[in-house]
Amino acid sequence: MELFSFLHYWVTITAIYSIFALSLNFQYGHGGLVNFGQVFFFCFGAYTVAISANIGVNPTVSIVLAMGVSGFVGYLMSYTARNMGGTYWGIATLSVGEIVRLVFLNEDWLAGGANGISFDVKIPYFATLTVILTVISFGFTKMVMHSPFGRVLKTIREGDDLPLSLGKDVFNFKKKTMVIGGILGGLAGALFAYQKQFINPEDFFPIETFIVWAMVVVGGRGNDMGTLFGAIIVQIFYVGTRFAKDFLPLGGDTLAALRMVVIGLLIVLIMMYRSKGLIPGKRRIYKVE
Amino acid sequence: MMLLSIHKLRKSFGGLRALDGVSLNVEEDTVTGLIGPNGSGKTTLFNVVSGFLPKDGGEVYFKGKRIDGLSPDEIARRGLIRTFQIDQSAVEMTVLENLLVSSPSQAGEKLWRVIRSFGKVLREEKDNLNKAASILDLLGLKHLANEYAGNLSGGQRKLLSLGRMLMAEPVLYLLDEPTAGVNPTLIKDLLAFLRREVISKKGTTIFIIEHNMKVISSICDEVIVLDSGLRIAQGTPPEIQNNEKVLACYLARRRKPEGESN
Repeated sequence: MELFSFLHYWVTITAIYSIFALSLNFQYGHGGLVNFGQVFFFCFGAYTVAISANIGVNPTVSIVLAMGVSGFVGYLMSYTARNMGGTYWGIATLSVGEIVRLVFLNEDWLAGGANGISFDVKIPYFATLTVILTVISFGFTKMVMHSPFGRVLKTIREGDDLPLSLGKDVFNFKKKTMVIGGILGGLAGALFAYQKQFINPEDFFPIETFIVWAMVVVGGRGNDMGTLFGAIIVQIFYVGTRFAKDFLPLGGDTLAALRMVVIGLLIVLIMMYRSKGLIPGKRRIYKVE
Repeated sequence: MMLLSIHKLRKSFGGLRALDGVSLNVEEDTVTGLIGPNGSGKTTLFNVVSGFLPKDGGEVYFKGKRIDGLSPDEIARRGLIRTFQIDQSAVEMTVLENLLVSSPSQAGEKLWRVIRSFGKVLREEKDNLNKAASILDLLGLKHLANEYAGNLSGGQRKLLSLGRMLMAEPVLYLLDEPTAGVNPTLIKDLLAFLRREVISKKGTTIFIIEHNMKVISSICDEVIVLDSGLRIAQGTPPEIQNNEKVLACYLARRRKPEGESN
């Protein structure tokens, strides 16, 4: 029974993080937007659900609301990308992520500050729902990347000059990329809140961003299947180490610290031996007559 | 009719005046060459005209409408497309994808249209694929259609950048040294190709930066010479080759004072 509840938890959390990783892969893997603050989409999604659930909004509406709020945050964030190149923008997003967390931490009236916010609304068949939503998100990103829109996005990933010279409105594409990434990230955050029933600012440390980065990098940048695979592997290590205390003569604190070491080691090994990830991005083969 | 008109265009980088009030015209249905010593402002001119660099002063008219101050993508959408001196091919995309993406204003680039008018997007894709395939055939790159552009040689990438232009079907081609680093045999093929597929077609105008005088004299109707950000001469290729000012601007840089070693 314990094994079943563990698997149940693992499947749910992996599905949630898969959607989160898909959102980063869409922005970074496909669109080349180096976002180090991906966690703020997650954060906005989770808080939107927590706050709206507390005032009695129905779960479906609150999840849609969370996606809308995060998508809008993505839209606003895209304006900072207008005149800022790659890594500079990455640093800016990192700080925005921290600012968002600190606002939720210090504004007690908003969502309980450091004490967090809890609610008691359960969604039936929640694990199944998360898996279905992961499949839908996967299908959606696949469809977008197969369209001419996705092709322009792939061109933008390699720099702005070529698409600009061909008449593509690069900023507009980046805006849409940020909105789609935001919607997916918000969905992940919303599901995360429903799974935990309680959130506080500690759930949204920058480390969360790096965990999804690890998933994308390990799985394969620019490949949605790889991203899902990366999410599964990283979650095995992440969640698995929690249970390792039953088998290893180590304290819980040591293990908690060790799991970051393990994930770090994983990234280093991937970078050394498979720099494009376990399932690298694939080219699309066309039939040419 | 003047397709492209430039009036007193200025651009400085700090204290360096790359364009010092240059004025020139490119006539419709011609091939106009742009030559000049290194650092004379040729590429800067292209960058300012195509909107990649903001101007400091002056005006640019394309098809009679003012285009300076517009964004580069807007200028491209109006039919002025440039190539880059340094190859900009999307190396993580295939040769074919490089061509497909170049087709202008595709319906499928708007997400809601992908969903709403899926049939139209598919038809357009099919048309673009056929067009890209025939361009690859012309360029002799068909066997590399599904190869990553990053695996092509320098010369093949120059061909690919021409292919992207053909796909984009501009009114005015701005070509920045299309033959630099290409071997002489391939240059011949490239020129033959340009003549056959671009120059011979009505309604296409080429403005080309070139160092190779053979290329200039074989395809250009008119040559403009820049030096220190100013137009110093204009005329047919034979006229330019015998122009004293032009010779002086090229030679003055190369001739060393007597007695100086090396």
